[in-house]
Amino acid sequence: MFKDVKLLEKFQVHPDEVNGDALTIPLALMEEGDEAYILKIRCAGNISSRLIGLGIHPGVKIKVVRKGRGSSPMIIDADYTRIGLGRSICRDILVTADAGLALSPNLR
Amino acid sequence: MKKDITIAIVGAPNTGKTTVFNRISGADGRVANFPGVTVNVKEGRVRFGDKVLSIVDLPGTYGLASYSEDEILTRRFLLEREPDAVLDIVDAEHLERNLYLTVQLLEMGVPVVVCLNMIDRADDAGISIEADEIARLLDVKVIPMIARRGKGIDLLKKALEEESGIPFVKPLVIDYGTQINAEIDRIADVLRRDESHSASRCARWTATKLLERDEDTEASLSAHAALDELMDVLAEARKKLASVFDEEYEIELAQRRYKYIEELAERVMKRSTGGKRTITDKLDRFLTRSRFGIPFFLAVMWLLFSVVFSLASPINDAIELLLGYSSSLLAGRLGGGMIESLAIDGVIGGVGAVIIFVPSIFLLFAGIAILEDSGYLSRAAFIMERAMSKLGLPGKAFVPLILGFGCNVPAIMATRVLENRRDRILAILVIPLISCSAKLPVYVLLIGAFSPTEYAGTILFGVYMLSGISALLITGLLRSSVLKGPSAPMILELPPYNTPTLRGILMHAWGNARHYLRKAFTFIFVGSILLWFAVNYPVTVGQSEIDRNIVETRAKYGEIIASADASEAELLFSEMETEIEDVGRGARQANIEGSFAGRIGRAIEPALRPLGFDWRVGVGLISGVLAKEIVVSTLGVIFNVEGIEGEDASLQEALKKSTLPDGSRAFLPLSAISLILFVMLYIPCIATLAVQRSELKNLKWFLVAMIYPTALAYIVSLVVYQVGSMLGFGT
Repeated sequence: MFKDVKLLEKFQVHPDEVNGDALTIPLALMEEGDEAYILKIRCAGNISSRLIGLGIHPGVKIKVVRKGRGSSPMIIDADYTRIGLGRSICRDILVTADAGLALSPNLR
Repeated sequence: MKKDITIAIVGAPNTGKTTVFNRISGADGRVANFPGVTVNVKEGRVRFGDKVLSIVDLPGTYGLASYSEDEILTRRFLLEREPDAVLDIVDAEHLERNLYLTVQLLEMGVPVVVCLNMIDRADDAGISIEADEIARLLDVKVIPMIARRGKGIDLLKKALEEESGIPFVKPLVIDYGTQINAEIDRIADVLRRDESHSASRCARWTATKLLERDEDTEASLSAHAALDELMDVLAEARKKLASVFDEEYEIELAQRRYKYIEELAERVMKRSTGGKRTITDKLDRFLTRSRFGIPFFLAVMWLLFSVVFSLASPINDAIELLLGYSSSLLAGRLGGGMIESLAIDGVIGGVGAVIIFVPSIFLLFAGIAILEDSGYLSRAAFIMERAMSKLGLPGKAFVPLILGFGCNVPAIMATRVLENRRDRILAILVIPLISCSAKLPVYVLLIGAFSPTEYAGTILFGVYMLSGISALLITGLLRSSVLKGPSAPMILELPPYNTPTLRGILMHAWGNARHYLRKAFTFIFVGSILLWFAVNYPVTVGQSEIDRNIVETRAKYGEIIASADASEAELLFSEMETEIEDVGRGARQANIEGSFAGRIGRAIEPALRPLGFDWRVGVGLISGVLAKEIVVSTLGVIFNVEGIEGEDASLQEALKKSTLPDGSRAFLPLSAISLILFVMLYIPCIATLAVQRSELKNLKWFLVAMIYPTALAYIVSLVVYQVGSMLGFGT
């Protein structure tokens, strides 16, 4: 699902957050049709709470429906809900291909 | 004992909240398919048995955080007004996400009745839900319904009748895990110490909000008796949890809530494989791709305005006939004089000029309702995001801007969906540049008078496009100067496409037409009477003086005619008739020039002349501050009062034929263009100014909102008229 590891630097993803086989990348790097699980939301508190209200929270499986050019927003499907998200928010949401990793260890 | 019961309706956007409100209150409102269109709180009163129910439709919210003003408003209402029942509208197709709000309401301890709405769509998506099981597990009433078709409404009404009216019930307790639970308990204990404070009744819930760093909740506790101790405990708890959960315990709280919901959903909901989203998927493949979506969107807007114009015009013709007929019925029956003039010119002429545009407004809002209810409007917001963000506004702001085409007043209120204060100020300042439907009458009048009918629709579309473009240009200008700063990033739900119901469209269209009519009848009726007075008083040349002049003229000619031969007499007779007509026309001219309106118009004429307007247009523009549609009725009164002899002419004809004192035409196509631009841009109407004042909450910005549009209008009209004249279009 994720091809260009170098881009991680551009998105300032901390090396600790890249977990070996199950790569962790910002949502903004996913392509149309890609699927992944949300691992972490690093947006400002008020934006996080709105996302959570919409059903975008760690552990949820998402699919990228539309990704336009440049800084245009993305459309993602999360739990049967279709949502348009600004690219800047997509940069602050970390996703992973590993469902197990996505769920908080405190809940397992 | 009769008792008033308050019922609040809450729910996420797109759950059919407003439909439920309309169904139980019988009041007409609007179904909003775009998140946040229903920003104003609607209230309806209805009698059930021996109780009077006050039903309040709160803004759509996804949760009870303080992310937007809508959420804050909803939460404050629930805490401060203590409704007797809270109807939580839940979209059955998105049960889990919607339960996120339900669970928070239950944690708050408000008396919830869950309306499980749109169960038919859930069915279509392959979702089956056991409502009784939800009711048992959460200990609430759950009513399955299809509000759109009125199913389940009777059950709901019955449930409301049985409502006991206890504002707070035992709150739901969610397990947040040992560490967080302990901190919540500690904070809640301190909160309960001040029993007079409302937070003591939902202490646990308030504690979770405090842990989530909710600023509004924190502010609401400023009067708490144990504030100092509370803040100490809170700071300690935050510090402790931050170290345990790696700074992210707020998300942990949400996670636990979702965990609770997931477990609940597992027991009450079954999802058969692959729900269908095929139509939405197929449409979105095209409509959300900018290469196709943007031209499509513009085509839709063009279609909307063309259809409105071509469908409305035959209806308008019929209304015009009817108005002419009623005027002719009255003519001569009220004894001539002032009373008759008031009835025909003041009342029928003025108010009639407004009624005639109801068909256009009805059709325009029907069109907007179709866009909204079909789910397309949020796609439009999505594809506009990139273009809008270049101008410095979120794509979301496009919708208030679009609503501005209908009426600036709800549009300005709809800016509440914008979280960023700067975005809001910006939107509130530029919305009045977007031509509202009340300006439509002015445009239709001027375009109709000076352009061939077959181009009228296209020119009207051009005028509306131009108003949109001017708004965008000013947005860019303000954003790069006085209102610098990043705008809020987009978070926008794209609901599944849906066939709008006829009932919903008609309700929306009728509601707005009625609003317009109400405005028309209060504002315009009074405005027309005042104007009629301003135009007719003070009287310079009285009727007795006119009569005396006529008698004198007759007497003068009588002597000559008596002594002339037959052929000469005929010539002299027609000469006399002309002179008598001149007496009447001269008197009317003198009267209108000497009237209050004339004096004001004359006083500002030197400033308006360079724009191509004479004093009569000046009077029309001044009256337009009361409400834009009054510009038309004022021109109607002024031009009819001046009177074009021998013609039962409509105002358009009157405009075309009106002359200046030197005999040249007063109104040419170039001055019509200049006037269209001026009306497009100048100071908004009183109602718009009123909401700008209340939404901006800042005198400085309000003054800016009042002054800059007029300055802009003056400069634009001046440049257009002067350059146009130089190029030879002024003749």
